Formats: sequence, C-alpha cells, structure tokens
Amino acid sequence: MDASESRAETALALIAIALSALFLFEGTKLKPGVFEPIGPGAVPMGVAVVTIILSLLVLHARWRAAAPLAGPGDAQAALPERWLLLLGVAALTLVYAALLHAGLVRYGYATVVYLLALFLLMSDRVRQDLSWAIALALAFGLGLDYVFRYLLVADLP
Amino acid sequence: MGLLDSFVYLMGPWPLFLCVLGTALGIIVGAIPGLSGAMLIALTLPLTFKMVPEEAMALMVCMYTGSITGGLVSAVLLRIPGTPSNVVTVFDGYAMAQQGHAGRALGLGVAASFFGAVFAWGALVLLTKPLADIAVRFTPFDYFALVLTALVLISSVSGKSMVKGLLAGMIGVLLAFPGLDENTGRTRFTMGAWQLTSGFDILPVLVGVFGVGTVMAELVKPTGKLQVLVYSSSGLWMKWSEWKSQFWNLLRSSAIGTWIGILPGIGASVGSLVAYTVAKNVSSKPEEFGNGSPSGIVASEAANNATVGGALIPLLAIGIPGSVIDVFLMSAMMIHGIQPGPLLFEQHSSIVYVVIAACLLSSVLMFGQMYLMIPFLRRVLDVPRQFVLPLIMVFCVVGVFASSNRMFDVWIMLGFGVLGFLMERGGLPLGPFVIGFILAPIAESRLRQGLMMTDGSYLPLVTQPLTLTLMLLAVLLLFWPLLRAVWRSRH
Repeated sequence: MDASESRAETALALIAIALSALFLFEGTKLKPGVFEPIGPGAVPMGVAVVTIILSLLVLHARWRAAAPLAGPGDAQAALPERWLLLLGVAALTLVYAALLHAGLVRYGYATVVYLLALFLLMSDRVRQDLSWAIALALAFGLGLDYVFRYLLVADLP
Repeated sequence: MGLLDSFVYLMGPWPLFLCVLGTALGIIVGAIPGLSGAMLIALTLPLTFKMVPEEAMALMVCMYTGSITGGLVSAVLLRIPGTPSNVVTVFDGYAMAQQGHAGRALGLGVAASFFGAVFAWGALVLLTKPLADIAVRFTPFDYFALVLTALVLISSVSGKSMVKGLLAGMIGVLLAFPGLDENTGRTRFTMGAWQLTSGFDILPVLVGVFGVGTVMAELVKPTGKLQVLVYSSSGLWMKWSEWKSQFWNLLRSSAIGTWIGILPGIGASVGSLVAYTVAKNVSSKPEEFGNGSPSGIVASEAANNATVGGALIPLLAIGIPGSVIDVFLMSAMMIHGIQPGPLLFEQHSSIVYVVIAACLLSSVLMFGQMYLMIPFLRRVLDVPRQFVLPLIMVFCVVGVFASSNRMFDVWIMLGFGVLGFLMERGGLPLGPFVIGFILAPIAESRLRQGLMMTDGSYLPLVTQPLTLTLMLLAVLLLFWPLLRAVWRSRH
C-alpha cells in the first residue's frame, strides 16, 4: 500500500467516525415511536457504534503497519502530475456545476466549454488532438442538450 | 405475460433493438479496462425513465451479460482484465495469446461464456418461482436475518480485509438512514436540509460512486501506451473435439458459477476464481494452468457468465441482489415504481419473465456479437482515455440532473464520487457499500415490524428456525477468519 492509499484509508476511517458521531448526536434528539418499541433512532445509533468500532480497528491496523506517509519509492510521489490533473479536473467540474446551478449559462454551451477544457487538460499532445477535441465537444455538448431537452423532454439547467 | 410471451415481446423491433444495442454496449464497455458494466448501467438508468419497465430491464440485463464477456478481450490481448470478473482469464488467456493463439483463447472464452450463461438460465427458470413461493412465507425476522447474512457474506469475500469490507457496508447502511422514517412519518438525520427529506436518492449515489469515482481513480493511474498483442482469427470457433474434452469442465464451472451467483452479494470475480481453482485441482495436468491452459480459460469464463443468471435468482425471488450489478437492476425496478421482493411474481410477473427471457436472449446475442465484434474491439482498446473520461463526467451530470430536475442531486453525486474514490484508494470495497445502502432500509423496517408484532421481544431471533440458522451463519462468517487462524495455528 503506497502513501496515498494509506492516507485515503485513514481519511475514510476518520470521516466514518465523524459521520457516526453526528448520527449518534442527532439520534439522541429523536423522539421515541408511539406504537413501536425501539423508535426511529435505535437502529441508526447501533450502526453508528459498530461503524466507530470498525473505523478504530482500521486505524489501529494502519498505525501498527506504520506505513511511511511519503518516501522516495512512493508511486504517488513519482506521479505528481496525475494528482495535479485530478485537481484540475475537480476544479473545472466544480466551476461547471456552479455555473449550471446559478443558471448563468445554457447547458449546451457550458458543456461544450467544459468538455473542451477537459479534453485539452488531459491531452499530452494538445496540438494534434485539438481538432478532435473541438468536434467531440461540439457534438456531445450540443447533442446532449438537444436529446435531453427535445427528445427526452427533460428540463436542463 | 408468461415466459413464452416474453420471448415474443422481446422479438418486437424496438425491444430487440434495445437488446442488441445493450449487449453491444456492454461488450464494448467491458472490453475497455477501467470501465465496468456497473458504470454503464448507472449512466443508462436516467435514460430509461421514458421507457416502459420491461424495455428498461431487458436493456440492462443485456448490458450486464455483455459487460461480463467483453472483459475477456482485454484480458487476452492486453493482460488487463476488462472487468474484475475476468481477472482469472488473464492467467491462461494472455499466455495462450503470447504463444500466437489469441484467436483460440478468445474462441474458447466466448464458447464457455455462452455455455455458462445458458446453464445458469436453466437454473434461473427452474429455481426462481419455487424460491419465491418459499420467500413469501418469510417472517420479518427471517428477512432481517437474511439481509444481515447477505451483508456479512459480501463483506467477508469482497476485499482483502473483512474489517474493511464491513466498514464499507456500515458506511453504506449509515448513509441510507437520512430522510423520512416510514414508521413514525417524521424526518431524521437530515441535518436541517429539506432536500434530504426523501433521503439520498439512489441514482446520485450509484452514479457518483461508480461513475465519478471511477473517473477520478482512472485519472491518477499511470498512463502509458498499451501493448495490444497481435490477433489472428485462426481457432476462433471451438471444435467439436474441444467441446467434448471440455464438457465436464464446462458443466462443473457453470454449476459453481451459478451457485456462487445465487449467494447474496457475491459476484462473478469470486465465481471464476473458485471454478478455476477447482479445475486446476482436478486436472491431470495442473502444471499447464497459468501457462496457456484451455481448461483455465473455459473454467473462468463459464463460471463468470453463469453468475449472471445465478445472481438474478435471489433478486427476482427474494429481492436480495446477488451481485453489485444486481443492485442497479433492483434500483431500476424501484425507480420504475416496482418493489423487488417475494411478491414480485404476484404483482409484476411480466417484469420477472421479461428479465428471465432477456437473460437467455442476451446470451445468444452475446455469442453472435462477440464473434462479429472481436476484430473491431481491438481498436476500441486503443481509444484515448482523454476523450472517454470527460464524456463520462458529462453523462453523469446530465443523467442525474435530468432524473430529478435539481442541482442538489448533482452536488450529492459529486460528493459520493469523492467518497467512492477515497474508498477505492483506501482499499474499501464498493460492493458492500452499495448493498448496505440499498438493503439497510429493508432490514430496519423488517426488524421494527417484527418487534412491533412481538411487543418488543427479540426472542424470535433465536427461536424461529430459519432466523436462527441465518443468524448463526452470519456469526460464523463474521468469526471465520479468526476460527481459520486458530485452526491453522494448531495444524
């Protein structure tokens, strides 16, 4: 397991503990049912306790394994550009979703720009891929807009 | 509509077109490493809203069958399994292709896939109705124990660590609780967000975990030019002598695949691994396994396709998904207003029979389409990822938005995408997560229903024979790693 994987494992265990704690806290605020013995909070709170125990077991196993968080042989360290790419895609996706949410741009146009940006961001031969990227972005961006809006009669942002 | 009527229905121009299209798309997506049938079905779900449920289910069953077989191509030509169910096929398929017999390896795989699928279809026809008749008599406690056992079972086999499998399942269960509590009519765990009144919708969760999560995982994988082996069509058709020599292997592996498919939550990857191990153990030439043995390819491919039909049995009879992809079929039914469970046969028999008929039709279509598509599939393996991954992201967003007309679900999908990515990086299997998410409301509701009937007494959990058996099985599965370690230390 490389450092990024052990970090993900630790992060997940901590997220699970936080989520379970939230469920335990919210569960205490629920009123018991009138006609039933255990009420709406009992099962979720029981599951939350089990989740905390399992998360602690995962954390314990991780600490016992004492994996280095970073090292020269780390696969993740050797591929920082892949992680930068992931961050770039995530940032573009957040901007795209925010624009759609705000209703500032029509879905088809926003999608053409988003697709073009992603194609070019992921490409390692931008000049050669440019014509394909433009053609595909236009075809799928405007095509999906047409299909969903007029053929499937769905509302689009 | 009976089974025969369902076949006639599927032969109509539009349903047949959907079946051909679904099988072809399944094969293509299955052949592309990193993409899976689960992802394809998740992205297709929103497009099925305008279809009648029978068409939607037939389309998805065909995608399911196609995707399991499509992975064979990349396993043989690239040494990369297209889907997890083809992992074992790599051992002998790639070795045989390296020896210049890629066509024969693919031919054996396709023929074995067809045999396994048809065998499991026979079991599907024979076992589903009797099992549904038994399941109708399940008490709420029986059902609760069954769901619990299914969850423990899938957690114990789907990852390297049982604790991680269980944790994944529990996170899924926990996230299924927010929303309206059907027993009290009050909302719970919504943290004040009115958008969560009906809980997390199934679609954003599934599309997020399997669509967005897959794209994120693919982005951080190292890239490089894939080396596709030279393919020759010689030996593509399995000879009569090979059918005869492989007959018992085909039969045994199909039976193993069907049985493992029936077990709740366990999918094709475990089925093919078990069948391969058994074939190696009973073979007179075990040393050939891993070096291009035809029996290895046959065992793996017959078993993984047999799990498709096998896994549909608990889904149609009891409402418990037999594999992760069955979760999507179950979700599709629920989205179309159909509640899977023992009463499915009574209330929506047409759906049941169309699914059964589509299972056989998809096997036949897969058999024909694989032979036609293999030369073309070689080119699909070269499709640049920089064009595929952005398109998947766009389909995820538009599909989820169009299903509910609210951007809130798109944000939820992105959140679950991050969760799916973290789970994949951290080694937490996605199978228990989605099965926990979909089965938790059923398990909780049955437990509370049972407790209302017994005035709060938990005694039926240990006094009802079926409940007790299932609970003991769950406990045994839970402590199995510990028991095995103790047994090994003593011997």
